[in-house]
Amino acid sequence: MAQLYRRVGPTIYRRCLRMLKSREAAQDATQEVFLKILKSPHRFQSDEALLPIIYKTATHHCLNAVRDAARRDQKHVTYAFASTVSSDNYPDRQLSQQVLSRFDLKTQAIAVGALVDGMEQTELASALGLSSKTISRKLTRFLTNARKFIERTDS
Amino acid sequence: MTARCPSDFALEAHLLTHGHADCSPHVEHCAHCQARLVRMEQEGSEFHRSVFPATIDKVLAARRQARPFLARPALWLIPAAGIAASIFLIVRTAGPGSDYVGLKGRAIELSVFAKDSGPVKSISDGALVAADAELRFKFRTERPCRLWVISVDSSGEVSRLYPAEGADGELAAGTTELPGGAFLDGKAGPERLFAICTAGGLSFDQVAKAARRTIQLGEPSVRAAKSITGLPSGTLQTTLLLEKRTNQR
Repeated sequence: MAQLYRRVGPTIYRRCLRMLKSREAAQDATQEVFLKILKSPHRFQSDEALLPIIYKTATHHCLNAVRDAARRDQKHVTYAFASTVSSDNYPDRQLSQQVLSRFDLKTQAIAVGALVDGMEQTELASALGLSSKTISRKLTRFLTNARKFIERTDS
Repeated sequence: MTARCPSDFALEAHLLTHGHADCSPHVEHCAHCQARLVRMEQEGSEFHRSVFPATIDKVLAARRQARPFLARPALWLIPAAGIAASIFLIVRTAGPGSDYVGLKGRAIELSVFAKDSGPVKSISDGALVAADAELRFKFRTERPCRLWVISVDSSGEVSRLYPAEGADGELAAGTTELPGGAFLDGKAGPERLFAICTAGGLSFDQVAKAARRTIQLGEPSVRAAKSITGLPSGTLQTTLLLEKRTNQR
């Protein structure tokens, strides 16, 4: 197990670091994501074949970690989504977090993949184990509802 | 470069495949992507330098708690689907005990593959393997049966290797690459694997009790044991000894 952790740990860590923007939080998340991956049967093939599992598990885990941190008011852990907004503009960061937190985990992962990671829909579909149609549908719904939410907030 | 730069996800594939991913041709000629790779490799080094040492004990402990039957110096189960091995070794079926009523000839065969720092290799009976090697299994049976693959070590602990969860696994006749696998625990010493095949099925508890009754504590007993006695009539079994070694031993 230690060998596997050495091999895929960097990939998990990078994903968590990218999502959480905190080395401390990423370290904790890395070990937890690795343990989750170990529990998934039929998923250990080559390291490359593991990549979508790592991406999906780490993304979901980090989104949950941020949600939990927000409930505990730990501002040092932020959504990757919000982290793309300049730290000088705290209200915008807050708004980004509020927008994202209004959606289910799957939609959040799709929004982060498409809008933060810059992944194409087919690539995102492969990474998250969803169909391109689902990605497209959920992303459209996300953008529409996020726009409505922001408009309501502005008014 | 005019082509769109790949995502981090694609760059991870580039790293994991050592430059054989779909995006690799682009990456090789893109200064921006090269810079991203340098940053990713620095973060990878950070993992090896700080994160791994700080978390490995917690990971092992959590794994132990998650799988109480593996909380021992034996084998760590992992989910698995396949093995890249190209060759496999046929383990001799153990000599039948007094209660043996099985098929004549080589009715069942267990093939074991180990991967440590080098390539995957097939394992012969009594072979030296790295104490923290990863194992994969193939199993061949001449008739449908319900299978347990277990291991026993010199402390008398019995671990289930297949199936990882639930009752014994039902297999059709033929050769099957067993889903799942195992990680050796990193401690030197003998570890004996058994594949146990029954028509009617056994609980893991029954198998473990019989194994503990048959194999006494201590390394000589593990090395000498060729079969587990006290199993129901008609049970087929085969065994393989691993000699785990560490760098210090």
